[in-house]
Amino acid sequence: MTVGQFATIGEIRTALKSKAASAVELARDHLDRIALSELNSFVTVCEDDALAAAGEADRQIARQGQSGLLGVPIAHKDVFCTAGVRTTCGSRMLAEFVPPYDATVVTKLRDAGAIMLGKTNMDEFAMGSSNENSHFGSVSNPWDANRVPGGSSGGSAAAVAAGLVPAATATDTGGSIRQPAALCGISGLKPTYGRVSRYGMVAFASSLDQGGPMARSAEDLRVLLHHMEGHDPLDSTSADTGPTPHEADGIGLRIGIVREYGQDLDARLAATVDEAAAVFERLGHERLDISLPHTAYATAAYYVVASAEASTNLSRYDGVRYGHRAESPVDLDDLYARSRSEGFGAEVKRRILTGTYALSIGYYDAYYRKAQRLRRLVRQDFLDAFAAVDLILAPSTPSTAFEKGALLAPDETKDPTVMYEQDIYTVPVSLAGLPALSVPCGIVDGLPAGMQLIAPHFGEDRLLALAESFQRETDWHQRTPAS
Amino acid sequence: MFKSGDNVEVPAARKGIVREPPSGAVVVTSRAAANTSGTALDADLIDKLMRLAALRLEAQERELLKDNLQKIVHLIDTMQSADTDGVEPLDHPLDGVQPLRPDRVTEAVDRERFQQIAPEVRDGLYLVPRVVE
Repeated sequence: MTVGQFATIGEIRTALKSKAASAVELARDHLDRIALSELNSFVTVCEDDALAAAGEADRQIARQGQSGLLGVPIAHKDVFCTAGVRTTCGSRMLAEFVPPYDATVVTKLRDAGAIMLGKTNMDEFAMGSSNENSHFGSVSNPWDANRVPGGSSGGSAAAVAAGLVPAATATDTGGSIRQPAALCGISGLKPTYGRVSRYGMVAFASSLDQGGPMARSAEDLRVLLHHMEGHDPLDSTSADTGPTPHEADGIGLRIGIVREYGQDLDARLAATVDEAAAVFERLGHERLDISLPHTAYATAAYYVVASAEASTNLSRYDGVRYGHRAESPVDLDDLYARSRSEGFGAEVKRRILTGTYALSIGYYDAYYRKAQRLRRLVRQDFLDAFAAVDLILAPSTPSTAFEKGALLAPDETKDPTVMYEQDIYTVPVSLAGLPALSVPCGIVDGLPAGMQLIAPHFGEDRLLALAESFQRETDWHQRTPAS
Repeated sequence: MFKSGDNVEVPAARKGIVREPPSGAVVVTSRAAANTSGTALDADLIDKLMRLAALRLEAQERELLKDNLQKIVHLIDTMQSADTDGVEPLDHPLDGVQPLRPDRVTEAVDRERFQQIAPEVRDGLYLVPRVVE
């Protein structure tokens, strides 16, 4: 077989088209690597189903040739419901949950011919920035096993970075696609809020949650987005804007650099973003300084809005209809309280209580409504900036991958808000509902650095075009971890 | 509680984007120094929140959680110094409207299939502890 461990979707499709590899060979090969991997990036591996689907894909390829994602192995973050395959969301609460239906994203990618190899590890209910909040254990960063892969989509990011799959689905509420993509040296896209259906995506914060792809290149992100996006009658918040076009020429753009993001960023990381800006200037783009004056409030506003929505969404876990149920409850309150207390981990409880606090009588205006007002100001900052620039270039994270346990002690005694600071460059975009992607832009002390490109609402085409042009000029996205 | 427009001092560490090093000690010191105001969580409030959220915790876990929550409240209290007078709250990031669909029945409830994943059912009903004597 002529397909390398770090082949892109494009290369895999070429191999399938030319019969240099079969879908079964590809699935087998990737499943073997998953079995040997010690990253803990998968919660569930679907070997039999994957091989059967790959066999069917080979028969289809023999009949009508390769098209779409036919025969391409992928993994789904364990937040997407998969009929008949347990969907844990990284929680004890859903450790045995086998959904009776598929998420729309799962259906669409299967219809496009993709072969699901398994479900990837994640922070519980997508709450976390290190994947250390998973009931199924932390995930190792392929670049350094002592370090975190980021989160919450840490399993998907680590699996793609290690060559266990060429692509994976993920979700981003406050940075959960972009931050792990940056820390693992891969490409990840958070589409505009509403671009990808949330149907069957276990809910965390419904006004922020957005599914998107992770892969090894911007070109692959475009292919995956094409097969994931679209209005879904089953998600009334999904946008009816038509498919992302493929027409942006990506020349002569005005690229904004956010003044507020410069302070106290790790200097070596800042240098990588600066070099990327220089690449864009060489490509004929103009670099302009912009200001997003409400940046300092974004993290606080985000944690109020996200936690408030989480406390509401997670009230559905009551031990009655599905999920964990406490043994021998003495009464109904005991059933609810013990099922929830046993089923949820520490961070999830913190967020539920934060949200309950922000929504409770006497605090609602001071916290929840205040946060929603700030959310509008944060969004307006971006809209004002986009009057002067076409795209924004920013760091994805304040530092490269940190060591396991550095921000989260096993005994939970560390300040939880220090972990929240990992998302300072990603939450403003989430509050504003904008599309953004993270692509590799350097290596600092042997660890990948990532940069974000941010576009106006539904500006994915231009975003991808600019990232594609960057990846034609540089080879950061082709760097892979040793061994 | 706070009214919008109340002036609460923003901790210095939050006035700009400040990267705090991943070492607990430095952060705690800067926070403690900056924490001149804000809401103190007392045991009664924690009890109320636990009841509202249907959570129950052992004493030790509770203490730790109270400490954690206090730090989170310090973080979110930093919002109070922002001037948001006259700003409309944003519910939907695109100020979107819900699209309407034709009022037709498109799905049927497949009770038997859905109840296969329930912890306890009998005769098509979900079982809970007795609530009426």
